[in-house]
Amino acid sequence: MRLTVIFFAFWLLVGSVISPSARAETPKFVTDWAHLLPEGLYDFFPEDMATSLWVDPVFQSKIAEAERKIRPELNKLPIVLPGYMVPLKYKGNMTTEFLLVPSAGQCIHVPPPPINQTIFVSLQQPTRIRTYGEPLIVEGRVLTNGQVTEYAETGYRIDADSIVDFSFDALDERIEQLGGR
Amino acid sequence: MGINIQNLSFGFDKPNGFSFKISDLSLVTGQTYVLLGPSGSGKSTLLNLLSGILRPNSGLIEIAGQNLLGVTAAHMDRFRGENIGFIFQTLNLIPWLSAHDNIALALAFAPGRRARLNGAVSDNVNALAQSMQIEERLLAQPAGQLSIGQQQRVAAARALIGAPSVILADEPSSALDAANTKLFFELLIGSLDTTRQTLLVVSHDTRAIDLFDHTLMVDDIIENRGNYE
Amino acid sequence: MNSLSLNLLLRSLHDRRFSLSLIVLALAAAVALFISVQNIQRMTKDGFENTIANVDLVVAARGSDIQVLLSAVFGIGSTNSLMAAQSVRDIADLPEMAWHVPVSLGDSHKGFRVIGTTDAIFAHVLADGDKRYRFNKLLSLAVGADVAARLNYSVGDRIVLQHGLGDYGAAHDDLSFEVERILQRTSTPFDRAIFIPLQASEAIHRGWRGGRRMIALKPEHVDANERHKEAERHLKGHKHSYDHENEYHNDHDDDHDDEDSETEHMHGPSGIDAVFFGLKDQRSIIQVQREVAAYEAESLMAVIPGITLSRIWQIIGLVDRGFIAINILIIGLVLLSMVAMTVLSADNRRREMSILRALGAAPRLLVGMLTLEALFISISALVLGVVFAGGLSLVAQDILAVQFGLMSDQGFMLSDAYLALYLVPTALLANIFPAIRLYRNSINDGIMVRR
Repeated sequence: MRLTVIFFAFWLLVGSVISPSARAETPKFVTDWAHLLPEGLYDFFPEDMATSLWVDPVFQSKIAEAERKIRPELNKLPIVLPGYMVPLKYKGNMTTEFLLVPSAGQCIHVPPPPINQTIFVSLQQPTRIRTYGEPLIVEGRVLTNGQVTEYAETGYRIDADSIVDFSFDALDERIEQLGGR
Repeated sequence: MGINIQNLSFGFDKPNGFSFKISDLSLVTGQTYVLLGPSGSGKSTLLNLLSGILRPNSGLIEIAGQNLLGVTAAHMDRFRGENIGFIFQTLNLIPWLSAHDNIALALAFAPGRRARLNGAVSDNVNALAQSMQIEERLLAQPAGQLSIGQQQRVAAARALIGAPSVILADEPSSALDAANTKLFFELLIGSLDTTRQTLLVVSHDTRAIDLFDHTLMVDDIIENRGNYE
Repeated sequence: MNSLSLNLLLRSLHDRRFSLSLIVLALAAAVALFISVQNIQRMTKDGFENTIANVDLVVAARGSDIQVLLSAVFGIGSTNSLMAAQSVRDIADLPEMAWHVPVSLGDSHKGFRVIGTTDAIFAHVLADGDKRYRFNKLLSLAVGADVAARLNYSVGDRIVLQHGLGDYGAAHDDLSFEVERILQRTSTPFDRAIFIPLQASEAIHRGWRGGRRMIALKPEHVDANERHKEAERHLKGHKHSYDHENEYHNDHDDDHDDEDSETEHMHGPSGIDAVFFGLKDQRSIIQVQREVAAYEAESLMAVIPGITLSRIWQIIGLVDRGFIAINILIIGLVLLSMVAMTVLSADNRRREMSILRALGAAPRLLVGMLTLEALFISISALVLGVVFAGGLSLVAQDILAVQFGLMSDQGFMLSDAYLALYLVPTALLANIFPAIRLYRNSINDGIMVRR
C-alpha cells in the first residue's frame, strides 16, 4: 500500500544507521533490531530518489519483498531484545504468544514495522499483557527455520525464557551476560 | 513446719514510706491459728507475702519447709496452687460453675494435690462436701445460686481438697451471722488433716476464737508503719 | 490442658453463649460476604477471560475500541454507528485477510442478544464441534449453550424476536424463527447469544422506520424480497458470487427499501456493527490496522482485541482492588468488635481470673485460655461463614444469571474461601491486645481483687 511506501524511509534510516559493523560477520547473539536485517537489504535504492519511483508498483513490490527477508544464519542464537507487545494468544490479562515490535504501533506518526521486524514470541509461562505504554525485554533464542503462519511463510520466532519490564539497566545487564555488545 | 517467718522485712526505703517487719512467726503443722487485728493493720500485706504475690526485701519466709525466695516467679503460681488453700472473705467461687466443679477446680492447676487423692475426684468432692455439711443436691447447682453460708463452706471444701500444707483464710466469716460463723469454723477445723495441714485464719471477728488452738494479736507479730494500699 | 481446665473453658463459653453467638454470627456474616464477593469477582473475571481467541482484528466504524469490543464480543451496550456493506467488502478484499465474519447487533430475545452473522462465524470463531454447521434457510436460528439451557430450547422450536436490546421492544411477531441447532459450549460470552443469518436480520427491519413498525411483514414477503433481490443482482451483473462467505448483501440501490441512515441504533438493511477478521500472516496486523484507518470511503478503525481487552482488564482491576479493599475493611471492622468484646469480657472476668490465680493458674495459662477462645470463635465463624456463602450462592445463582448475565461453569467453589482462612491467624493476632491487658491486670490484681 502507498502508506507503507511513504513511511518506508524511516525504516531505511533506522536499519542502515544503527551499528552497521555488527551486521558484517555472523554475530554470536542478537541484541539489536538492526541485527535482524540482512546486509545490503535496501541496496536497490538509487542514490537520488525520484518521486515517480516511490509510486512505481514494481518498486513497491521490491520493498515489500525486502521487508520479508530474514537472516537464516541467526537460527538458534541467544537473543535479548527490547520492544513492544501485540498479544495474540491470551487468557484474561495473561498472554502466552505475542508479536514483538520495535515501536509502539498505535501512534499514527510512527510507521508500522516491516515484517522482518515483527517477531512471533512464544512462552511456556504466561506473562502479563503489556499495553503500548509498557515496553519490555525478551530473552530467549531466535529461530529462523520452520513456518510461522498457516500459509507457510518463514520469519523470525523467539522461544522466550524470560520477559521483564523494560529499563536501561535491565537491558544492559542482560546484554552483558551474553558477553557484551 | 507449716509456716515459718524469721526477720522478715518488706517495704520501701523512703522516709515515711511503708514498712512491714515480722521478727518471728512460727506456725506448727497440725495446729490452728487465728490472727486478730483491725482492718488495715497489715493483714493483707502478710497474706500477699505468704502467697508469694509480694517479695520481701529480706528475711526468711518458709511454707511447708520451702523458702519462698527460692521459688522463681515462673513457678510461684504452681507452688501456691499446690501448697496453699485460700478462703477469701467473699466472692470465692466462680458463679456459673457448679459447686462440685468449683471444688474440683482446685485440682486443675495442682497435680500434686490431685495425686494425693484416693480414688476418683468426684468421690473426694462428695466426701468433703459431706464433711462440710453441704447438701448433695446443692453440688450440681451453679455456685452463684447458693446462700452465702453455703458458698463459704464450698470455698472451704475447695481449699481443703488434696490436703495442701497451709490453709489461709482472709476474714472468711465476716459475711456470716453468728450461728453460721460457729458452724463454719467447726466444720473447717473438723475437716483438717492434722498430720500435714496448718490453718491460719486472719480476722477481726472474735466470735469463734475459742475453737482455735492459738490466738495471735497482730500488734505482737507485725511491726507496721504506713499504709501499703 | 487437663480435663478440669477444659471443662472450665467449655463452661465459661457456655455461660457467655449469648454474646459469643452474636460475635460469631457477625464474623460469619463478614466471612460470607467476603466469600460471596470473591465468588462474584471470579465469575466476572471468568466471563471476561475467554473470548475471541482466533480473531486477529475487529473492524468497525471509528469510535471507541472498548465500546466495540464490549458490544460485539460481550454483548454489553451497543455500538454508536455502523459500517456500510461496501466498506466491509473492500476491507475483506485486502490480500492480507484470510476470513471475515460480519456481525449485526441490536435484537434480543428474552434478555439474550441476537447476532445477525454469516456461516463464517461457525467455521472460524465458535466451537470446533460446530465448524461445519451452516444456516439452512433464512429464518433459521442457532442458539448458544447457555441460552438453550436457561430457556429450555430444543431443535425445532419456533421463536419470535424482539427489536432493541431490552425486553421492552415490540416483538416481530409476524416472523418467527426455527431453532436449527444448539451450539456447543464455548465458555465465552457467545454461549449467551443467538445467531441468525445476516440477511434475516436485515429483512426483519425492512418494515421498520424510526423504531416503529410501519408494515406488517409476512414470511412470503420476506422470501419474495429475497428472490427479487437475487434477480436484480443477476441483472446488474454483480461480481460477487452467492457464496456462504458473503451473505450480507445489502443494496442501497434496491428500490424496495427507501431507508435512510436515520436508523442509528436501529439496524436497518444498511449497516454492520462490526466485522471479525482473521489474517493470513499475523505479523501484518499493524500494517493492516493502518490501512483500515486510512480507508477513505468511510471512517473506520481496526481493533486488536488483545490490546483492548488488556485495557478492559485494567479497568476491572481497579474495581477488583476496590472490592478487596472493602472486604478487608469489613473483616477488620468485625475483628475490631471481637477484640472489643474480648476486652470487655476480660474486664468482667477479673474476679474469675484472680480466683484462678489463687488456685495456681499462671497468667500465661489464662492468656492461653483466652487465645483458645479466640481460636474457637474464629474457626466457628469461618465454618459458619462458608456454609452461609454456599447457601447464598445456591439461592442467588438464578438471579445472577438472568439479571446480570453472570454465569460460570462452577458456581460456588471452595477455593473462593481460601482467603477467608486468614481470618484465624488474624483473629489470634487481634487477640494479642486483650491478652496483654489480661496478663497485666492479673499480675497487678494478684489474688486480692475485691470486686
